[in-house]
Amino acid sequence: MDVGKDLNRPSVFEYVQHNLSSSLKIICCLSATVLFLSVAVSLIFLEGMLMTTLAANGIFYIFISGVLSFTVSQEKILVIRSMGLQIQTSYLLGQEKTNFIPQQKIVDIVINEAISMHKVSYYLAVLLKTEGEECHNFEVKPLFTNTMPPLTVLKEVRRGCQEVLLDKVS
Amino acid sequence: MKNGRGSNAPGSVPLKVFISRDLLNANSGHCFGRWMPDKNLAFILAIEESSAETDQDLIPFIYWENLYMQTEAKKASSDWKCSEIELIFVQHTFNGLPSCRYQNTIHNGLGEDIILIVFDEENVKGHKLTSQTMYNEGHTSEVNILSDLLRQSERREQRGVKWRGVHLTLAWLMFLVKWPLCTTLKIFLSGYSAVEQMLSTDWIQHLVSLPMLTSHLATKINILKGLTMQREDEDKNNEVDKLRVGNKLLILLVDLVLGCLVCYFIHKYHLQQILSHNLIKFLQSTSLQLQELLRWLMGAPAGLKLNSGYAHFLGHFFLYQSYLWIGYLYILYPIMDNIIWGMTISGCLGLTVLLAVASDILSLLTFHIYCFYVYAAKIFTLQLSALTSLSRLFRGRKWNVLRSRVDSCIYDIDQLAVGTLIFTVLLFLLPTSLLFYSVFTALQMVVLVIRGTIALVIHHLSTFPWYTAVKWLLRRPVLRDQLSFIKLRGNQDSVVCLVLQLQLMSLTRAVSLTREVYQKKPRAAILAGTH
Repeated sequence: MDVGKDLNRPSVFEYVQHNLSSSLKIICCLSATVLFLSVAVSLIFLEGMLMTTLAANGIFYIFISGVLSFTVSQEKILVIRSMGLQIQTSYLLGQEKTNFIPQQKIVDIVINEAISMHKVSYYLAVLLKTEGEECHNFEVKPLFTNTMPPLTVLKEVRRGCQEVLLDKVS
Repeated sequence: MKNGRGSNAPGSVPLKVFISRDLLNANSGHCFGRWMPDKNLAFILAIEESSAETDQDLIPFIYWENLYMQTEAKKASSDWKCSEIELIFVQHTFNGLPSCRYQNTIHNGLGEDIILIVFDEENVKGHKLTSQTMYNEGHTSEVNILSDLLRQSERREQRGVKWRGVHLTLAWLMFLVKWPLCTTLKIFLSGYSAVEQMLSTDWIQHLVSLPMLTSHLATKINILKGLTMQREDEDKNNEVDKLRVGNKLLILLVDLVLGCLVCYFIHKYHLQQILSHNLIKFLQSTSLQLQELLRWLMGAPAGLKLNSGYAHFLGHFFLYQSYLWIGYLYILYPIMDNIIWGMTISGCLGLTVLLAVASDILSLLTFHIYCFYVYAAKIFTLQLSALTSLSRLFRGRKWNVLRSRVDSCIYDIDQLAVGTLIFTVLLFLLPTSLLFYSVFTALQMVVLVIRGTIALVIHHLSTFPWYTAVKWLLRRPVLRDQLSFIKLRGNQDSVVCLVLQLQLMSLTRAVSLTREVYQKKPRAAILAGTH
């Protein structure tokens, strides 16, 4: 009964990977202020030009918000012992997409390497059981596809996940 | 260990305690709910001060202690000090995260994993889709058990409510409305199926599937059939099936309402006369333009030097065709008003019927273009096949029909001479027929694109699940199926605390879950519309 008690393993593991988008945010804020100023200037000085400025600004805002709403701000995984793994993707304008994978479906969590163009990149992937098939065929679901953290981080995350989810201590 | 709850292997399955959000600041007391020792699950649905019997079962080993709400006097005389209680949740602050403490000291509070999962009753209660086995992709069984439990307790509460009389009268009213409708529908459908059985030969089926109107009416009748005749595997409590029934009804209704609206507007502003007038004008101008095009092709189109004799022959042939078509149109002009009027009236049967009739009228009016295309294609393919077979002559080969393969063959000198002559003639005539072929194929393509768009619109109008879409827009709990957890940050000694939420599924998933396709897939429908 007391075997393993001393390890005091966590039952929940959480990791958040932020996207390096602070520069983008700054650009957006700057452009917003510039637009605001332009509206103010057109209000004060150019009375006839107000409608055109407003229309131009509106188009620009729609464009910017379209870009922002598809930009990933952070990716988060939450691993709960005996429950499963949750992947949460948040976008810059605040929408969130969650995907929960129950434990029964998860076979393993691995680090894969992919060769793209002229570099080798590493990514974390969950191996999922495919339904009705023999267990030799796995579905590979890559994680952190938008933020692409470096290998050292991936190793840590993988260790944490496996400790919580699969009771492996490496 | 009287209750046998210590059977969990260390480190493998932690104890998961589900608790409602409202209970986080409840007074101290015993916990009631459901307790599953084999899965190490506990669902706390109520906290009562006394351990007496209530609707729910007592969870014997958990005690809830609220230090924030408790008075000093009560603190002294709390009655949890019985031997069964093993685990005590201690709430220190208002609505904060509790910490946990162990009564039996063997554990020392270390190593025993406990996850406290906070849920919102309203959020989880309406959750029904996942209890069907076929749709629970990303769910754990825990949530299903929880929603079942909540529904049971809700039923217990509602038992005393006196709405039964109203429900009964409503049911009677519904029955009175439904019964005659259903019987007439059933009689109509049985008659239809009898006729269908009589006419089930292949060529009649093909004839029915040719005009868009009849094939579309057949799909509509199929929808009606699906409404009245229950499938064998249909389950009354199956939420997806309920959604599907609603979808079928709303498809018919939306179609009808849209059709009536269009019909009303057309007749209010006398659009049908304008439409037929413009159509006649358009047809006259196109026939003139077509003749002009043919004359242009007979000369030197785009600076191409064609075989003038052959071009003239082909041009006159097609000109004759177009004269025929113009004559046909002159017969049509007086009754064009009536045709258009009939088309708009058919909108009362539904917008899709109107569109199908419009598509059929279009195909009737552009029949000559189809003919042009067929003739040009026939000539072109004939010429091409003749050229390929003659090209074997130069290689000393010929096509063996008996063995269906290319054999070597020794030709006579006059055979070679005649073959070369014919080959040269055909080769030099090829650009002219290629030009005619490409021009008429382009014309036919325009017509096909229009008819394909109409077919696509009809397909989407008659399969789009409106009911599901409305439910999705209203954010109904029925369509919640996406689990999400949020980890709460507490003090160092507080329990691991998660908030469970069920989120709405995406619209595309909802639509694809409840969409039903009758007979044809969209591509097949478009292709069928392009005969």
